[in-house]
Amino acid sequence: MSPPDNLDMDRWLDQLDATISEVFQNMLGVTCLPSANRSKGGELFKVVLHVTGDVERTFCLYFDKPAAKAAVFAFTQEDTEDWEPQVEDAVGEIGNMVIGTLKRKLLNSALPSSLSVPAVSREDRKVNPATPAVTSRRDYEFLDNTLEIRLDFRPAAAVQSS
Amino acid sequence: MRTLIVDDSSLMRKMVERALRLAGLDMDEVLQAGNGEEALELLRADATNGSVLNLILSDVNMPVMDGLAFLEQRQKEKLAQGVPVIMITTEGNEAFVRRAIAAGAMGYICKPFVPEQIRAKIEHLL
Repeated sequence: MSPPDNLDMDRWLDQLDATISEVFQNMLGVTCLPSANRSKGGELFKVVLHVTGDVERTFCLYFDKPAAKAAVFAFTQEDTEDWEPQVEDAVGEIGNMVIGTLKRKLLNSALPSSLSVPAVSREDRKVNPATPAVTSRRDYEFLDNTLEIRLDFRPAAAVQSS
Repeated sequence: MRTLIVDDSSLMRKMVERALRLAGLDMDEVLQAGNGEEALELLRADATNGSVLNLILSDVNMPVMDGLAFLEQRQKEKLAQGVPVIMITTEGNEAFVRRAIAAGAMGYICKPFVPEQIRAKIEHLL
């Protein structure tokens, strides 16, 4: 699917890179940069956020298990084996900060729009390799872990049903 | 300083508290609430027993009752009047700022933040 005609994808991706870097550096104290490395798959933690209103956007962030664990450690600054109960909170909050900041930077603040509460779920890429058509995918690396982000510019309802 | 932090993320509540302490602010007691409704319950209890808050920091985007609805209800019930409220948000657009100020917020901090930004905002308000 192609992005809407009036959408400057390069601008979105440039701002996404800057936003990811800002969120990880300021809030978690770690560097997160675009990377050619891709997630190895397996169990993924998927964070979905919708922007609704005069503009409709859906965003998905995928953390593989090592990345999700690293995100919890970065948040808590505690190295514990009991990290899984906090993983939804950690990846959901990272998603909220990344997409909320992107929305603030890129969408016309005069237009009414709202950001959903992040929905976190688990997905097994091996079992379900088919993924919805997406407009753009970007991979990042932090603490030797990969983070995958997909921007989908279809209306939220279309994404939810695919 | 007796402070209330409202955020649905327990990790973010801990992070805000850590940022307040890193910024060198004197935090005698930190109360926490997971959404606006829980925060209102704490304010109602304070009103009953005469406890006094010095500062409220509230997230905006929360389930059950969001930060703006919390502020509006607090205003309606005349709870913790005169206590400075700072909203912590990722958005900070014009519509949000207008509504937050109308509901009694004295300022807002955009996430992602660094501890010094919190310190500067609080020092400016208190």
